[in-house]
Amino acid sequence: MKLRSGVAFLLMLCLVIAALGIGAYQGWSDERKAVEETYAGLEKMIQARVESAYNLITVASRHLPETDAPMAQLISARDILESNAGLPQKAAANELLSQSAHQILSSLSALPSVQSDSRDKMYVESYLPQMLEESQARTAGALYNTAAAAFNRELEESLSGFLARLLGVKPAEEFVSP
Amino acid sequence: MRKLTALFLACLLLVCSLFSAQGEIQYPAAQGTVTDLAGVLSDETEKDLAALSTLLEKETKGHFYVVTRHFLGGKETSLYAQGLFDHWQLGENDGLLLMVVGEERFALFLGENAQKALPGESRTALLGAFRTAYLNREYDQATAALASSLANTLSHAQGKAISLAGLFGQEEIKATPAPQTWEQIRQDMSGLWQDMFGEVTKEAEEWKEEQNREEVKSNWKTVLIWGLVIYFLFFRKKKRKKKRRR
Repeated sequence: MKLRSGVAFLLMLCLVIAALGIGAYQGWSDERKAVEETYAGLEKMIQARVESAYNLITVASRHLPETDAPMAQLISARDILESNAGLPQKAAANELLSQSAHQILSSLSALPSVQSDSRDKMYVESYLPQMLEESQARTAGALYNTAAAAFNRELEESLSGFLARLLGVKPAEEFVSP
Repeated sequence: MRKLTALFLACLLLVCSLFSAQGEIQYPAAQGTVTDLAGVLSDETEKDLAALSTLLEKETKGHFYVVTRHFLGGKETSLYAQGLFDHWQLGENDGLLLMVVGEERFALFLGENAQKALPGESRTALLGAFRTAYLNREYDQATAALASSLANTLSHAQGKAISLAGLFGQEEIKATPAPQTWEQIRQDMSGLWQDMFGEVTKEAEEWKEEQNREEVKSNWKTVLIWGLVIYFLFFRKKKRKKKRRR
């Protein structure tokens, strides 16, 4: 009778542990899915950054030589953002895009060919900086970034998160440069 | 075997639809005959283009649409024009002129019947004349000339004639006054980004609240399940013991 009680207790303990494990796994997997659902918003903003780069390159190529170093950087950053690279690489490319775009816009503003062309002057001084600024602000403020950071923090700090990690729930990839 | 084939086809369709959704292009809504997103056409030209399109519709059952944009963000001009033509569900007799002002590119896309009426050589000649004015940034003049020639050619192809009297200020077609126009565009840019990037779907706070609501629901479910487990493990066991004692 004693043995049967012990077996029953062990069985119950196993069931409790299994329930905890399954619960943690399912709960955290659902939360990860919820985070991933917000990714489309970030992707849309990354696409807006790519489009900004294309537009700037179009205008810059009318006034700057093809060998211009910031232009090469901008093209490289745009290509990474357009590729299937991971989010950290894309975040680094996004920063590079901002820097090179800023340099190109400064160079363009100082050019007499731009100053004498009312349309390109408008693009260089208003349209493109605004588009770059707006797309950068929206990319940085994308819901995915907040959601992924919060998910990873909670997964790291909680006991159920520890269990879920043991059972294979991975942290969400963050849009942060390495 | 049939089931397997059906399943395979369903999976294939799903994969195709996922890929097409990923590469989806956002097209602007039609604002009538003229969708001047770049703001480079004068009000007079817009009115005249609308009047010409109505005349064309009477004679050939076709419409002529003009779209202007600053940039296409790396998209191919003719493909974009074709996509827009399809997106707006334009007909066989319709024509669409796309002007991408900042890229100095343009595309003319015609429906099937309109294409037959304007074969390769005629189209090249028509666009050649347009190109010169377009690259000189005389957008009103370029559009007016192209629209008039196109309307004439399309109506002639159907044995009809269109009178352009009073349209496009025949005696004087004004070129776009560049400095003022660009300055106006600069001032009108406030609502542009909202249109371009769309609404922000959900604010972080709203999303967090929704997540919390879901969590509360899930917690109640867990409490219920645990309650049932405890009930079956302990209370049912006690009842059985009592029965056995009796």
